Amino acid sequence: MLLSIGSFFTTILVAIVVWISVSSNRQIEREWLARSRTLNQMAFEALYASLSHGGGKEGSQQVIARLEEIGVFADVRVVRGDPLIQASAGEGSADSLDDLERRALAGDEGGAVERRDGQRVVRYVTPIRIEAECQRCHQAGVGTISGVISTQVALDEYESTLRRRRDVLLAVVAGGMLILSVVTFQVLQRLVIRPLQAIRRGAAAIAAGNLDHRLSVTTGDELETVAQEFNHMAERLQASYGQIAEEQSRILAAIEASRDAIWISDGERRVVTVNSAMERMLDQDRAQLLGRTCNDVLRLHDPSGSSICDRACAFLEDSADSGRIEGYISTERGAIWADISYGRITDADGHVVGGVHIVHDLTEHREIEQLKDEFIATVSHELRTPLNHIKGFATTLLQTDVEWDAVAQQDFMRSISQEADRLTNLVDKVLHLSRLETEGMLEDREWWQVGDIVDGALRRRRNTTAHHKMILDLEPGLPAVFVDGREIEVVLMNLIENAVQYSEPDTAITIGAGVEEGKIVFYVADQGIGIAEEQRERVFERFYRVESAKHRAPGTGLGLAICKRIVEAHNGRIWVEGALGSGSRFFFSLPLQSIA
Amino acid sequence: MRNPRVLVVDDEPVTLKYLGANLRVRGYEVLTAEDGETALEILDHSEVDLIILDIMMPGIDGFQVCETVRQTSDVPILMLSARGREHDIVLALDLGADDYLTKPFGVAEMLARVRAALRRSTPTWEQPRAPLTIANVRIDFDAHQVTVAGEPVQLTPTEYDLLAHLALNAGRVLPHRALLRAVWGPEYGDETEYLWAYIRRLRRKIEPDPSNPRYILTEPGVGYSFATSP
Repeated sequence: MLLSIGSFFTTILVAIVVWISVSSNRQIEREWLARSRTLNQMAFEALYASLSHGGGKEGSQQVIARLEEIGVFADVRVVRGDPLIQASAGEGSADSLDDLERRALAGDEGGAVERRDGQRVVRYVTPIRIEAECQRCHQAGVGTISGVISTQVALDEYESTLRRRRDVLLAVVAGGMLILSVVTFQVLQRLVIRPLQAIRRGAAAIAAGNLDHRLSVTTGDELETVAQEFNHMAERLQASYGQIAEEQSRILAAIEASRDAIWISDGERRVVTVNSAMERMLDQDRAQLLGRTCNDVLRLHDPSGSSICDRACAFLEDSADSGRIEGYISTERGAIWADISYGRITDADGHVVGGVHIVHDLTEHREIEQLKDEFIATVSHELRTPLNHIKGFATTLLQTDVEWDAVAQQDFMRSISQEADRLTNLVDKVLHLSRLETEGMLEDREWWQVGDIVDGALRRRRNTTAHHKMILDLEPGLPAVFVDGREIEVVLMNLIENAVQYSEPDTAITIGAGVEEGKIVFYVADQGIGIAEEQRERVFERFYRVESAKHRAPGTGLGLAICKRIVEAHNGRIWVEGALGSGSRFFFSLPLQSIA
Repeated sequence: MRNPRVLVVDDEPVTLKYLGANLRVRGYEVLTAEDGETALEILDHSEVDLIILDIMMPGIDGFQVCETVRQTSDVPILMLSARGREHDIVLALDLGADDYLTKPFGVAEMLARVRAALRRSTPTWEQPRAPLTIANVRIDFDAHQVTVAGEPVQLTPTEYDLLAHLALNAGRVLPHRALLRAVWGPEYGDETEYLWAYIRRLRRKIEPDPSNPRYILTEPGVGYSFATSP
């Protein structure tokens, strides 16, 4: 912009200078032509006066010489051979005539600025007309032109003053223009350029990301208003960015905290963002995953092994913008069965710029489902057995073509009753176990005396233990315990039941309790068939029954599983000792809350 | 003539109790076994007329016992199981069982099937018949013998019955229901899987190429027939 202003002023300056020069030159010329004419007339009159007073040739020469002194060079030219007019002064040949002289001879006076011998001169040439007085000496008709008189004056001297004046004027004008330029420049600078630059810097700063930048323009005019608006805009931008950053960190936090693996891909299915859950699932760092395509990273396939990656990414192109798919993901650890939900990411114009996939590992879910299915299958089988027997005995009794004697009838009906009991027992245990599984920590805790719990268990199992020798081995002074008394009774009862089942009548079953290292330890010992070492852990599994060719165990297989759940819910431990053939000793410990 | 002797094999003593009681009161002689090994032992030195065999047992299961028995004998076998899926039934029949009962069952039904099985195993053709020959297959009704290309073929009573029915009606398509009723008994009619399993057994024993049968032909959705000129 400065350049334009500069050129503008320079052009004006130059134009002014040129105009002044040209017009002053013209003015000088016009003036001098006019003066020249006057001088020419004066010269003629001077010559005429001299001549008419009889000065003759010498007189004329004197006049011419005097004229020369003042710088006027006069020259009279004669035409038509008039013998009296032969005076010639100045330079120039009498024979040659130039344009001005010729024209004057024809009657047109005139002048011109010429260059002679390196000097600028003004020449004026007027015709000499014969008048009546002239006829005294000359023989020519009145009004005829007998010659021309030309005068010339050197301009330079006279010009120089004018020129000087002109130069001063130019200098003044130039100086003025310069000052004007400088002043204008300064003013512009202050009022316009600096503020504009400040705005430009401000815009650059904001574009570069420095949203704190604010302008301070105090020119008090439109630019200040612009700067204020700029500042408002910057504030709003900053606020927006702040919101966006917050929004982004919220979303990132959510993505990161998710236990499901999440990955976000761009329009070309390349991984752009992953969360820690994804890193864990694939056992790779995000650095190893970024930039790779989904296909490469996940190898999503169906049970038969064919890739379904395309189906999982089809939504990037087709009409549905989200969906779910189930499939296997190959990882280092093997194939994971997963449920993947996906959605499209679009920009403000609605173009697809990527997709987000959320992978929910169904492995655990599947395992749980499997366990549940197994449990249900086993329970169903277990429930059906007594039912089969009930059906068998009942239909037996219903036969009309045979007669059953009273003993047989009693027998069958008792069997029906027993099977019904078995069924009830099983259902109770299944429900108990189910309740323990879902409830976790037991709520009904109270202070109980150990002796009371043991008594309660023995009393309830009085019939079962009728054929065995029951021995009590309780340490004296046992502290009270803060437990769910009913449930601990169940533990003891189940252990007693097992002892009875797996040992012969008339053998001893011992129940004991003592304090050891801040815990109270119970035990139930029998003299029965014992448990092999490799089965010691397994006996506590649901439905596990020690099987041997002879002893198809009549129990449910759930008793010990229930015991374990209860003991562990009390933060205790349960285990068994003893070898095959030499009886079993079942122990369980409960931590003492405090001594009462 | 002795009373029919039945071997009941089941790992639940309670089952043995009521099955045994029901059979005994009707005059059957009953032997019991609680597992597969015991059952095979008994069969080694006793002749029985029917085996009632539970599938789910510890040790060798019912399928294995059935397979073993069939290697040397065609005594009728009635299988018991809590599993009643078609797949299990077909497997049992494929191994050679004659019939299949799912638990829980009423004893009346069991007794009916016992009767049917025993009926099948005793010859019912009272009138003498001339031997029947179709291509390579020859049935000698008097001797209760079947030969294929001159070689005698061992058939269980049920297999024999089925083959005889088809051959005596060679050229005609016998519907499923008719065959079941004729071979297994009037109480039967819907157990097409029995037929299917036994047709397979017959084809394995008679056809030169069991997968491309020429003698015993299937009419899909209708029944089976014996070719007149295979």
